Amino acid sequence: MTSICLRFFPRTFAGILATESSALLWNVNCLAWRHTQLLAPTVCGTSHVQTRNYSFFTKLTANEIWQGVSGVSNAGRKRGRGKRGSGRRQVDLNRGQVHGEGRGGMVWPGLNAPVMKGRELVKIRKEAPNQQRIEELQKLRDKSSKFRQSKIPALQRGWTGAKFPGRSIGPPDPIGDYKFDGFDTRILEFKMVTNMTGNLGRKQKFSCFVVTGNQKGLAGYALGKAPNARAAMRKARNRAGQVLHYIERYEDHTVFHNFHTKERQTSIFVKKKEKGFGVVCHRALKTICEVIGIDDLYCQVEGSTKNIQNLTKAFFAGLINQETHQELADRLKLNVVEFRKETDFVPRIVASPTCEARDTLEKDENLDFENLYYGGKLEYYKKKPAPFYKKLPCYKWKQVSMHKSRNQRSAQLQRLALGIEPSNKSLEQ
Amino acid sequence: MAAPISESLISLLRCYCKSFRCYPIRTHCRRYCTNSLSKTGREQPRARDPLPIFLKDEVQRLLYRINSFDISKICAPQKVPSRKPHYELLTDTQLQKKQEEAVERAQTRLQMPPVMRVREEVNPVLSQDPELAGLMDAKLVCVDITYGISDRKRHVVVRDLDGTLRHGTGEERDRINQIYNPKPGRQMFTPRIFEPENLEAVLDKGWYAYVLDWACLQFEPDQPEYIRVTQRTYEHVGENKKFDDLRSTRHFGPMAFYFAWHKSLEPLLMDMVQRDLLSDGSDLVHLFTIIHPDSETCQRIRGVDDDLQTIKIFCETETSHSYKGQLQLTIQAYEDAQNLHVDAA
Amino acid sequence: MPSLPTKSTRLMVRLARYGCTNRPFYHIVVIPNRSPRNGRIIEQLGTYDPMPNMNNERLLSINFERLRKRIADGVFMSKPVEQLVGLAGFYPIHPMSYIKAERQRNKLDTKQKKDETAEES
Repeated sequence: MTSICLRFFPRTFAGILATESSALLWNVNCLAWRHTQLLAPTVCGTSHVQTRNYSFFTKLTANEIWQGVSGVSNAGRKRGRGKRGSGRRQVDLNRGQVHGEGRGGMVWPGLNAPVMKGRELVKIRKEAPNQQRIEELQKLRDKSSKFRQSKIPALQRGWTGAKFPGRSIGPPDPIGDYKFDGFDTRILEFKMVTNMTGNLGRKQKFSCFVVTGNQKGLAGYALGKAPNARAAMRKARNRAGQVLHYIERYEDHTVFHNFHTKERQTSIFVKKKEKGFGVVCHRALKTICEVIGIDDLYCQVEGSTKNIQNLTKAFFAGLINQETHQELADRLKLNVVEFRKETDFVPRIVASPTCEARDTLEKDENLDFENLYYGGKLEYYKKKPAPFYKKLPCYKWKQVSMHKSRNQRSAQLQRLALGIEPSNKSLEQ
Repeated sequence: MAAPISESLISLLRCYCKSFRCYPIRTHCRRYCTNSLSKTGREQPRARDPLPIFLKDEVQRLLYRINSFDISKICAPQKVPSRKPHYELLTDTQLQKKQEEAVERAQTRLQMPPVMRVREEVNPVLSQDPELAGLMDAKLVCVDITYGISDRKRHVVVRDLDGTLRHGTGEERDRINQIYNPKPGRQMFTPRIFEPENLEAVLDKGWYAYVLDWACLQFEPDQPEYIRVTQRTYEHVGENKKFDDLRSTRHFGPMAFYFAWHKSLEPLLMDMVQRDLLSDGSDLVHLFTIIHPDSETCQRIRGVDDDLQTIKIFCETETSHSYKGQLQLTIQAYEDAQNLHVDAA
Repeated sequence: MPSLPTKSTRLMVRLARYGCTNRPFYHIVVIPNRSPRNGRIIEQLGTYDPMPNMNNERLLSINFERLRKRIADGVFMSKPVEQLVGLAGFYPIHPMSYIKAERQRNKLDTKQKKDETAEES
């Protein structure tokens, strides 16, 4: 009887089975059904169709079946075999399946319908199957289930499109009453670190190095480690929020003076710049400046440029050890005077010593503001080599031919502005 | 085959050969250079020249005094390519020296452009040569590019199509000078901002110093366009009472001179009284007396030391009917304010 | 390669053609007679632009102080330069200018007469 039912009423069979068989049957592959249908002879009338209603397929969980397919043993798994790419990726074949939903279109009160409708009991009934839903499910399951990272929008990307460094992970969690308003945390380094243990072998953790700041001078950095990524980020973020420093800024946009710092093999020359210059430095330092609120700066990193942690430590140390103009004036007992080209070099007193300024200068006293804090060091200015093409004869000839028409475009624009330009080409351009 | 040479031409050629034999080259050159300029007959007598009065020491001093010296306005931040400010550690004496140097540099920015009358359009004819008519299809303009002569004295001569050799007109001279001795910032064609409609639009925006600076750059002080633009600007400033916009610029002096010359000092005087600049007010009245020595004010002011008194005398004697009441009110308001101050003290 | 000093030291004031194709521009230069047209000059005294500009003018510029000095030292002028300097008023007008002017006028007259007769007929 079951065989006949299969052949002539394939779709409803699943619905009937729902009432009679165990939950295991829900894991049966659609393919298996199709397989049996294919096997069925096309001749009308009764015939024998081989079916297996109870096989290994129906005895094991989906997980177990998949593990069998992947080809890696338990022991092998412990050793970390079959992690990268090798082995089949598990596919959830019952994706989108909701308890009570099926091809039969049955209404099961308590499962996919309410028990009571007003005062009446809802009865088990059959409705027309929702074709659209079935089609949708089919489409969903047929879709490629390869793991594809969703595209990160441009403004939220870090230093690279897919990786974490440079990305923002929000403000640290509030501590009691204090909410970190205006704070933003950025990841500077995100890596997986391994520790070899006795019993488990390789033990892996995520290491997350972040910097947090409120763009108004408060900032801090910290390292967080945890077995999973999210936890590591959270730890780092919160720790950073607990070790904040206040960094003095000149007119809220740059440092007070040029300085040099070093942490182990990473040394930085930091230069004060004018408004509108921008932050021109190592991407990690740029990120740090963004969270502190420094808008104009130039840094040259020498030595190890990749060691982000040393870089950050050096930079923070330098920023914290800055001397404000007032402190400088008091220390040297001289006026700190600013000269700007925009104002025709009219002297502007930035800081005057609180006590009387002294009148005499010592012999050979170094009062060069540019190099005052380098500690006797001089920066090595690398001469930028000329691009390769400048030596070629074709470049020289190009310059000669361009020289002939050097002012023509701007003269044409001037003529256009005055309305005396005769050529029509100007309108196209 | 060439046409036979006419009789008149032969006689000319004879003259040419003769001139080269009898007169050495030097004389010709001398003749060219010392050829007296035949002045064209003028129908009307020219307007009174303001330049000699403007250049008087006393007038310059007065105008300089009226123009306040606010270094933060004179050396206000300009749009220049971005450059890092540099810092110096200075003692008090060094700082003072630097400040004095800055003040000196700022003072050069207050040098006033001269107030002149419109230049005479005189085109003295150097020679008439009707025999050259038909030779050229375009005029020939010759300019002397000798090093060291000023543009105003540079010889620019034009040989017209009918053979007349004459000095260049003012417009021609300006153009030729700009071609052969270009001044940076000056454009070959007059910028459209100086056209009357565009000028009005810019003045309504209140860009007085901008327009006046550009006019100084583009024109000579005796060019008709310059005088038109500057006079319209001063009138606009007077109408809208925006005198403070031009204070601490180089244009304040010429503007005050303009109002004094044309006897329309009242708005400026009122502005000064309102701003408690009585010394400036009395300086302005003294300027007026220098420009108009035959006015009643000139006689009555002699020996008067008090600033407010000077202004009052001016108010009684010279102010036009429309402004008299306003000026009197302003003075009254000032006096009341002073009395209140005294009472409070 | 720079030119060697010429044997002839007779100095001329003449026009050296610069500019481009169909757009001449002349430098008025002091140069030994035997030098090539655009050869190494002793001194440049001015320029001459033969193309009429927007205001229908041909521009001629001469450093008269230096020209006077050269003339005093005994320099020769080429015919075009003599004509130009004559038209400028520094020298008397060159006979060729008069001749050319007359020729032009005659040409115009004959042309006008031809046009008139053509109209009549």
